[in-house]
Amino acid sequence: MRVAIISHGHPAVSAGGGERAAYSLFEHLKTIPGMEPVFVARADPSEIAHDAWFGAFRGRPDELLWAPPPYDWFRRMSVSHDVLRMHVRSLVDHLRPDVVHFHHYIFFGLDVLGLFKELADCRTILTLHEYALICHHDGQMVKTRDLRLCSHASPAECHACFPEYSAGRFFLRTRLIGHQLEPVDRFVSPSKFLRDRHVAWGLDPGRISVVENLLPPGFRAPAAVAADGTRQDRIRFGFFGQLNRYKGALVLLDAVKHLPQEIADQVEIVLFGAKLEQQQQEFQDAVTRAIKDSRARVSLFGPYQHGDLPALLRGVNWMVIPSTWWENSPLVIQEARVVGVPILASNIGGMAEKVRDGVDGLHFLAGSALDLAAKIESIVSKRTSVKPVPLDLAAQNAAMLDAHLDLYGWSDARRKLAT
Amino acid sequence: MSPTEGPNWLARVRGLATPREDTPPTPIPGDEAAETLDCHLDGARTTDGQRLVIHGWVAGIDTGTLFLADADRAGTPRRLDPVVTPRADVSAHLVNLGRRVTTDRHGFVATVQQDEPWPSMMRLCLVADGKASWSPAFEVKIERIPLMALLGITIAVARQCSGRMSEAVERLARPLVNQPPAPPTVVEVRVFEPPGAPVHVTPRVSVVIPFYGEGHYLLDHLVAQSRAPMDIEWIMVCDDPRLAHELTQIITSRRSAIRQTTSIVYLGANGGFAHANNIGVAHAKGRYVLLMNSDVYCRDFSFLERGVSILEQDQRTGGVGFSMQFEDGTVQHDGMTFRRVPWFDDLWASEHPRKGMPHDWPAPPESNVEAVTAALMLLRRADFADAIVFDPGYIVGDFEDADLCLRLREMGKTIALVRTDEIWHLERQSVRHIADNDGRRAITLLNCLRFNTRWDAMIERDHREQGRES
Repeated sequence: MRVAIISHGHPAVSAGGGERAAYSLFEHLKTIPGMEPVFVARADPSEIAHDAWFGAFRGRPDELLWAPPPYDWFRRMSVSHDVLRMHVRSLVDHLRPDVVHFHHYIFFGLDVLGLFKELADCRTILTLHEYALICHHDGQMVKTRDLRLCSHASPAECHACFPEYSAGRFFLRTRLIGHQLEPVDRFVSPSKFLRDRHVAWGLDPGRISVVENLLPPGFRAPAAVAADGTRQDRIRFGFFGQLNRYKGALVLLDAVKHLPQEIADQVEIVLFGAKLEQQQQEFQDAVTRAIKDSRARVSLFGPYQHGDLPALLRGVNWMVIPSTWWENSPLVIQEARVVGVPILASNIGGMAEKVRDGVDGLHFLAGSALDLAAKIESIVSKRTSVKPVPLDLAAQNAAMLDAHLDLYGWSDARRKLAT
Repeated sequence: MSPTEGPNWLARVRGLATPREDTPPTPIPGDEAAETLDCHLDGARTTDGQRLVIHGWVAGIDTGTLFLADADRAGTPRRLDPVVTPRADVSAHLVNLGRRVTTDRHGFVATVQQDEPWPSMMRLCLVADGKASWSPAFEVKIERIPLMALLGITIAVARQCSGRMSEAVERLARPLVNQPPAPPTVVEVRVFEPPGAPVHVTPRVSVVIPFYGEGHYLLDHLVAQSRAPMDIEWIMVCDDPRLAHELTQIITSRRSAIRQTTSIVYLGANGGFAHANNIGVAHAKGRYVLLMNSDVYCRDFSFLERGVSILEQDQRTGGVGFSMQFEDGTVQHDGMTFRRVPWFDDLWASEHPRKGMPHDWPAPPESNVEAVTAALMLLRRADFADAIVFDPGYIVGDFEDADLCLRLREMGKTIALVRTDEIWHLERQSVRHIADNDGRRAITLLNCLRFNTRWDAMIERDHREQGRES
C-alpha cells in the first residue's frame, strides 16, 4: 500500500508538534512489510535549494520537500489553484498513492484535498492539529483583544476580533472551508476535546476519529537517575515549548511572585523555550523582566534538540504546561508521561484531557498565577504528591498505529494481496 | 411610462427640480448705492469645481428671489433656489444693527452650478417687488470635499428645516448627482470556457453578477460552480475598474476548476448598479436571466429549478425572487411590500417583512408578492428586448428592484417569491464602502423621491383596492 504522509513541514527544519507527529507516523509505517510510505513536507524554496517545486530531503527518495504556491491565510485556500493542481498532478503521477494522509493544510490550502481526491482517486485522511479551520486567530480560539478563551466561532464574534473582515466574510469563510473538506474520507483528531470543538463547529461526528499522535519508534525513557543526580536542595519545575503569548510561560513566572520566600527558596524554574526572539518586543521585555526580578532561581536555556528531551525531562521534578489557549494533544505531555514526570497543567482543553488530575499530575486554573503558585507551594511543602506510572509507549504506539491502519483500509488491502 | 401624479407637495418638489422662469435683476453696473443687502456668505464647497453648495444668511430672504452674481455684476446672475434655515444668531446681530426683525429665517443653503470656473469675488442680490438689493463684493473661498460628504451636508441642512426634509434634499442634492449617468464603456470581455467542454452551447440561464468594491466574492462564485447546473452561464460584470486586476487574478488562477462558461465584462468606469446589470443582461444568451449580487451565497441551486419552473408554467409571472438569510440565520429577504415611512416624509418605501428575525419561512413555499429584491431575481430575457432591466436614474443601488417589479406589474404580470433555506445574502457589505451615513441617506432619499414620483398613485390604488395598510 502506498501512503503519502503530507505535512506542513519537515521536523528537521520546523520542529512543531504536528510535523513531529506526522514524521513519527511515517517512521512507524516504514516498519510494516508491504507498506510503502512517503513523507512529503512543505518547504520554502530555499530549503529545497534548487529551482524545482520538489526536492528530496537529504537525498532520501521517500522524503520529499514541496514548495506549494502561495496560500490565503484567511480562507485557508491556495491563491493559485491551477498551479497547485499542476503540483498535485506531478505528485500523483510520481507517488500513485492509495492513501493520502494530510497532517495539516496550512501552506497548501484546503483545495489540495479535493485535488488529490480528483486526480488520485485515493483515500483521503486529514489529521487536525489545532483550530485553524474554526478560528482565524492563529487557530488558537482566543480573543484577539485580550487573549480570553473563546469557545465558539460565529460571524459576528469573529468580526469583533477582526473588524477588517465583515461578519459576512466570516460566514463565507466557514462555508468555503466546509465545501473544501467534503472530499475528506476521514478526519483524525488527536484529542477528544479537539474533536468535540470541530463537531460543534459543524463537522460530521461520523467522519472524525480520535486517534492519539504517535511518538517516534526510537523514543526511550532514560534510566532513572540516582537520587543524588538531581538537585535535592530545590524542586525543579520545567517548561518545554515555545516562549510565546499563548504558551503561558509568564503565568509560571508570575506564580513565583506569589510564593512565600521560604518556598521560593526551594524552587528552581527551568525554561527550555524557543522563539522568544521572534515575539513582540513587549512580550520579550516582560519575560526578561520576570526572570530578572524572580524570587526563585530561574534559568532560561533556550531551545532544545528533540533527541535530548527524555534526558531533560528526567532532570526536572515536575513539568509545567501553563498554556492559556486550549491546546490539542501536546506531544510533550505524552513524552513526560513516558518518562514518568508528573505534570502541572492548565485545566482546559487538550491539557485537561491528557493529564489526569491527581494521576498524571495536577491541574491548575488556566491563566491563574495564584492557583499555580498554590499548587507549587503544596508540592514543595510536600502536602501534595503525585507519582505517575510511566506510560507504556510501545503498547500505545501499537494501538495508535493499528487505528491508523484501519483508517487506511490496510486489512482490506492485505486481504486483496493475499488473494 | 408616464409619471403618475402624487400628493400636492410631491408635485411641488417635481416643479422645484426643474429651473423656473424668473426675471433676472437688472442691476446698474457701478451703482454702489444699491449695496444695501444685509447678508454674509459663510462658505462654499464643491466636489467637481462646477457645482457649489453655498451657505450663509440674508436678511429678509423669504421676501424675494436670491441671486448669485459676479463681483462686477457682469453676465447673467445665477438664480438660487435656497433652502432657508433658522438663524437666531443673525436675528440678534440684525437687532444690534438697529434693523427690525420679525423672523429668525435668515440662513440659507443653496446648490448652484456653472460650467466655467467660479470667480473668487462675488455678490448676492435679493430681488423683491421688482427692486434689487445688492451685497458688497466678497471673496469666496471654495473648499473641495468628496461628493458623499457634500451630500451628507445636504441632509444635515435638511434636518434643520421646518419643511419637508425630502424637499430640501431634492433641491440641494439632486443637482449634485449626474442624472442619469451615461452608461460606462465596455473595455473588454473575457470568456473562460470549462476545460474540455463544448463551446457555444446555448445556456438555459445566464447568471449576471456585478462587482463593486470587493472582488474576493468571485472566488466563492467560482467554487459554487461545482454545485450549479451545467446549462447555465456566468456573466461577471466588473463595475469597478479598481477590481479588474483582482478579478482577473482570481479567475486565471483557477481556470481548471471552471465548470460553466464564465465571462468577465470589464467596464471602463463605475456605472452603478443599474447600468452594470443592464450591460450584463445585454451580454446574456440564456432564455432566463438570474440577477445576483456578488455577496449572495447559494448552498445549492435547487431554488433555480423551482424559479425556472414557475416562469415556464405561468406566462403571467414576470419575475421570481427568493427568500434569503443573513449569516446569522435571520431573515434577510422574504419579499417586499410598500409602506409610507415617517422618516422619509411619508413617502412610499420598500419594507422587508421580518427582516432580522430568526428565519422560519411561512407557508406557502411559493406565493405572489408586491415586489422582491433584485439581489437575486429570475427574469425572462425576452421581456427585456432592449436589455434595459433597471432604470439608471436611480443612484447606487436603491429602489431599482422595486421600480422593476412595479413596471412588470404595470405590464400585467405578477411577482413570485420562492421560499428556500439554501441562500444567504450578506447585504450591504459591498455598498458599505460607498458612503458615510448621511451621504448614503441623501441618495436613498433622492431615489425614494424618484420612485414616488413614478409610482405613488399606483401603489396607493393597489393598497386601497386590497384594503392594505399604508
